[in-house]
Amino acid sequence: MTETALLSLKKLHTYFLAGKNEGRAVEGVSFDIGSSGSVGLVGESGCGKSVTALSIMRLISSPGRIISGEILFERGGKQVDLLSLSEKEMTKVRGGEISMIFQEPFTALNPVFRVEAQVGEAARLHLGLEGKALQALVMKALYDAGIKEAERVAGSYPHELSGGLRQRVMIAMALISGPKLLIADEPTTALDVTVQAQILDLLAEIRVKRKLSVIMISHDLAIIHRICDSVNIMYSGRIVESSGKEALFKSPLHPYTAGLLKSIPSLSRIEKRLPAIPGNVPDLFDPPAGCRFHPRCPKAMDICKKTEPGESVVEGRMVKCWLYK
Amino acid sequence: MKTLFKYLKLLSANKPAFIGGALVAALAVVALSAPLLTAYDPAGQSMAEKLQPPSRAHLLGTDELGRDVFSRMVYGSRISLSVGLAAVAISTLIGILVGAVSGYFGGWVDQVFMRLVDIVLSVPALFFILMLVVFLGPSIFNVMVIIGLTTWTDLARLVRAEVLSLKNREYVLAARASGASHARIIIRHILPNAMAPVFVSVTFGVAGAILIESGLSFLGLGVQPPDPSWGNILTSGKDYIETAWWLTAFPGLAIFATIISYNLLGEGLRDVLDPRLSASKERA
Repeated sequence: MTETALLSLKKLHTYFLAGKNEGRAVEGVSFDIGSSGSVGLVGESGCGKSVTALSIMRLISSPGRIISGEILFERGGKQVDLLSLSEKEMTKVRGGEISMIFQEPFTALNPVFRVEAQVGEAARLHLGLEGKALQALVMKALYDAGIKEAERVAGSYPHELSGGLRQRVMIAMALISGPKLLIADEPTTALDVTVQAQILDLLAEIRVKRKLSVIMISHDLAIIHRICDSVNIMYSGRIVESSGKEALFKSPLHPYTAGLLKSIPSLSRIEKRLPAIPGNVPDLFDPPAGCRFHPRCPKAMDICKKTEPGESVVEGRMVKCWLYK
Repeated sequence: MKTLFKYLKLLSANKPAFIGGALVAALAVVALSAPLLTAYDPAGQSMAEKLQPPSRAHLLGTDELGRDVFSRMVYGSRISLSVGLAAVAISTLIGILVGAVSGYFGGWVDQVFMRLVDIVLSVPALFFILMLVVFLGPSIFNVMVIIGLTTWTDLARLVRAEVLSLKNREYVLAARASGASHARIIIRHILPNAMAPVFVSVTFGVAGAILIESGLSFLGLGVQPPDPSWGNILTSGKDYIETAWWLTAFPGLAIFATIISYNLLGEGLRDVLDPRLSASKERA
């Protein structure tokens, strides 16, 4: 862990318990994020990205459970393990110090309340604002989220707004009480491409302006490329490669990363058919032995089937693969 | 406000609901303005005028003690309605609380509350009510409380089911992520979304509670004379049913009309508030 880390995950394990079986959704995930840094968590559906995010917020609900690990977060100049906080303290962290935005702006807004009431919720809870002061802050938050007609939007119900506007409302909601860290869980997946680009620009701009740290979760490396400084590639509950953005995009180390990169459509590389990684993400309740990626890996060797690779450091980048031992 | 008007408009377009609502409102007006509507004291006896048929002086006749039946019924509506509403208020409060806590927290809390519901439901309601009346003694207040304490189970199950389906919505997670406590989430974020079926159930509940109160009073276990209630007016009239029909016909009719109007209103509300039903109507 570096001195400046705002949040530092250490060997986080989150399992889903079903009778005697355990689904190891997150297994030994560690990474740091510095203040005003931005880290990407990338992987296919079901590889543990969202579970990692919800674990940080301590919003894992039964049958899921954080089994072990530390989530060190800087509060008032001290490193505090979020897992040791009481539920009451944790409600101060949520929305006040760490905020989260979700994939589906259609379902993440409560249909029975006006935008005003929902955006104001965090400010009411964390800053204790009411009445005029609250209203003014809500307007400012909406405006900062790039909503020009803040007045009209504030008085609307969620179903009266477009997808892009709703996601902007979500962003306003998440940032209103001035958190230090924003976790964005696939914030643009449900939006169409042009709106996607606008939202990403907004996030990039806010990040710089507010010196906000961002954990960006996505399956789309192109999005990560726009927002993040460093990238963690997750597969089946583990981080298999962790690297600075430029290096990762130029020369991926792990075969999984390489596969993900190849499956991004590109204008400079005309192909008949976009290459895909064959097969599916392994069953969390019954993962393959050895390296979990080996059944799908084009470079799999005998050792991959038997023993799990440890961490290797290649040019300051972390990778878990037998190719680099 | 905008949405309230929208619902009122939809509701008045629904004929049965409109009729039911109008009758319910009229009844409330009658109950509230009782002293203005009748010149007679509901308890004022006048042996000279006993058992008179309906006439201009006594609109609905007089009973065996010469009391004005119309006046007794108007004042009786106050008691019947307030018992009905208070009982439903109690049962709604318990039902929502038990249902919401049960559905939201699940696990052993849910088990305990739902088994409690099973126990209450497994005892025949009338037996349960009669037993409580015997223990607590008949009085207006006791009748309210007893009806409230015995009729919350359906609502608890209803609210539990609603909360179960709502608690995993993403906006609930979003509210948690913005730092809302469990209590705040239940009250502010989940329950407002579960209110539509609760309104419907409450409307039917009032009808049910009035019926139970009338039944208890008829058996002499509810509102005690000389306080007038539709149920005990019926009781005192039943001895004269062959000679003085007005003593039983009018209170009976009043109970019937009240129950019908609350049920019509309830059905109308269900049509308007339940999106599943109204959606199928629009398609048709």
